[in-house]
Amino acid sequence: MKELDSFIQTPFNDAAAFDLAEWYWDKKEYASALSFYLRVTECSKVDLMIYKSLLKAGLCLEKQGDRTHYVKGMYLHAISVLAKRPEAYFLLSRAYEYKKEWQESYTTAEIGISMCDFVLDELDGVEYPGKWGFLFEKSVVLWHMGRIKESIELSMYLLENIEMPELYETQVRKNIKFIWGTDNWSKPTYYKKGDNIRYKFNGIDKIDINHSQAFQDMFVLMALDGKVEGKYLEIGAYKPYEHSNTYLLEDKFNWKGVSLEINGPLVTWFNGKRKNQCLQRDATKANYLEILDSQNMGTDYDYLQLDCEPARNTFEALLLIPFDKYRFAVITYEHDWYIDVDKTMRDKSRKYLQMMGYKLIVPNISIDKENWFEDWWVHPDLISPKIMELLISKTENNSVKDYIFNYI
Amino acid sequence: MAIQNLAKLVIDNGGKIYPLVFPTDKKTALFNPSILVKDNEILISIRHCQYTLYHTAGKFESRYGPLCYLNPENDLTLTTTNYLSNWNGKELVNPTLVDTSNFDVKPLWEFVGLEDARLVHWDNAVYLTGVRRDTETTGIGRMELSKIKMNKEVSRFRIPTPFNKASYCEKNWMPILDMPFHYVKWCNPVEIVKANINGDTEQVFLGDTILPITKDMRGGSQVIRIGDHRMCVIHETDYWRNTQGNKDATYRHRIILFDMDWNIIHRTDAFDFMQGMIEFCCGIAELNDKILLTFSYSDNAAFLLEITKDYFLKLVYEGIR
Repeated sequence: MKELDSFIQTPFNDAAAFDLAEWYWDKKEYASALSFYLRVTECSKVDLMIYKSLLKAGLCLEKQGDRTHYVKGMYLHAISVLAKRPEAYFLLSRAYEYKKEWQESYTTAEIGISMCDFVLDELDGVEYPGKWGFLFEKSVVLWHMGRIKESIELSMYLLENIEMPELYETQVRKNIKFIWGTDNWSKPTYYKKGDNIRYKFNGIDKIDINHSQAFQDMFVLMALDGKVEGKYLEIGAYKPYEHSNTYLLEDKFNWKGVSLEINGPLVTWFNGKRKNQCLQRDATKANYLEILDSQNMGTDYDYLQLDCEPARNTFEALLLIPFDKYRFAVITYEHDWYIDVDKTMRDKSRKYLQMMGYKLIVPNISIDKENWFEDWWVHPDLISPKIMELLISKTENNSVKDYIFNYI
Repeated sequence: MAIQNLAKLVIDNGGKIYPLVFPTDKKTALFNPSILVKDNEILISIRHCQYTLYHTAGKFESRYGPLCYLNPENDLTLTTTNYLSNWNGKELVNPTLVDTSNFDVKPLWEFVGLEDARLVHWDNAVYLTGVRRDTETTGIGRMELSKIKMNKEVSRFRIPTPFNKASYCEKNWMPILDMPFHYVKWCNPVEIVKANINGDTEQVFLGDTILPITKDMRGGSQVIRIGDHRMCVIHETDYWRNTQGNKDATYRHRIILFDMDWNIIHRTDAFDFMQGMIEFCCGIAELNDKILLTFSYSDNAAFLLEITKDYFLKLVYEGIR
């Protein structure tokens, strides 16, 4: 066995000891693996190698079960070696969580987020999922700490914004279901060419499939009868294609516009894929007047999307929009009523938009007939009355599939 | 002078080393293997414990120092079970947990089970013989002899001490494979005892030579006969406490050569197997032109070292002095 032979020849070579430890790890012989990871820590002069071996030693003890006291010691050792790396903080936070030491878990996650350099290449094989892993830990322990609203918001953020491995996604869904009693809230349905929808607008034949999570892009095009070269302001862009409310407009109808997104990697991704620009901004602090003025596209826009998390952030962003100068023909406003624990943000947004002269024509959109999360608005002066009449919903709550497809 | 890394010496001279592993769902240590060649069959026993030994010579000590047993937090016992397996020359075949249910009773002390069992074949039966400390609330340890048939313990005999009935812990007696029910109880001076099943234990030999050495020569492997000599592997320990009062230790081994009158005619230099501080050997066997040694590393991993007999004898007589 080459790993063993190599170790025998050079028993104080860190790479040889590590390879042998990994061989045992792969065989789930965690006690044996532990001993050889410890050998690495004895003989290596490379901090990263020592750090990784300490993490793996801790994981070996985790796999054996019921040794959390010692597990934590290993991760603390690792932090002492490379205090700016995130993996040890994450594993330590997780170990505290497993031990039901909620406050310690939360605090460790916060320290990790604050302390670590997330630009460093991630270590593989140490069960560190990425920066969002800290948010996952926080989402779990916050509930146990009685901070239910924050727990829900974080869980929702993870589900909507992070492509998690199945194991984590399943757990997040379970957590949400545990808190709400359902997790059946976000299975999107898409328009496919030939589908019979509420209003067949001009240019619908150009569309093979839409991209929005709940037909927002199709609603905008219906309201504007398939307008070409429209203009938009998108607040909370998320990904360039999947669930995007503006990609279809840009791609098939040649719209111009600007998007805002707080998540740096998503912004980079977006700008690498899309023609129109995405700015990295905190939607609750952005200067929208400056942004819109800089676009030089006039004061009447065709579409405003507002979709941040949590609900209060979306409302705060709404209050910053310069409605005294700019008008928007269509607004999709995500009030997230179903996870707004106070249940106040929807009403506030409605009062505010009505005051600004907008008309709510499709209230309380949901995908599952349970979790109402969005209102659709129009400006009566910027929409054809005939089309508006066609699009007004007659119900207080609107399953989006029923609204789009089964409107008769 | 101490010899470091016997395994490397052996491999560089035509030998081989094999890890002794097999899938279990226990995820904790398999260690202290013993070996027995019986007719055309090679048997290996391996001890399993639910603790994990944490030992480091580096700066990342456990919370309790450099040497520490990491138990599950809900189980502070030191519980041993034993597996028995065949060896096909490359790997373990059909390892099976030894069924002790015929004799299991509620343990009265925290060290549970038969520890550091050596395999022997006496009077056409296979036995595991080691120490058990769970029969009294004080942890008194006595060597036991368990007959094994089809992986099941079919008899158990707790071996009395020959003289000092009040001794606290009798362990590491080295069974003499060609002398049924005889053990080397101590090496300095050499003391041979015979266990009489269901009777008292006899002292059958007590040497009159005491070697001028400070460390105990502790068992150890079985005692095997090669030609006109008997030989075994013993271990010596250094225990100490560091400045924080935490314990640490090293184990070193030697091969001891006896003549047929139980005089120690040679004692090799101390050696380690693969430069671990905590290693333990409790198996030796002769197979055709090879010598097989089984040992563990840090109480967490088990190995078989295959040595050509010529080289082994060269090591014993010339190499390790």
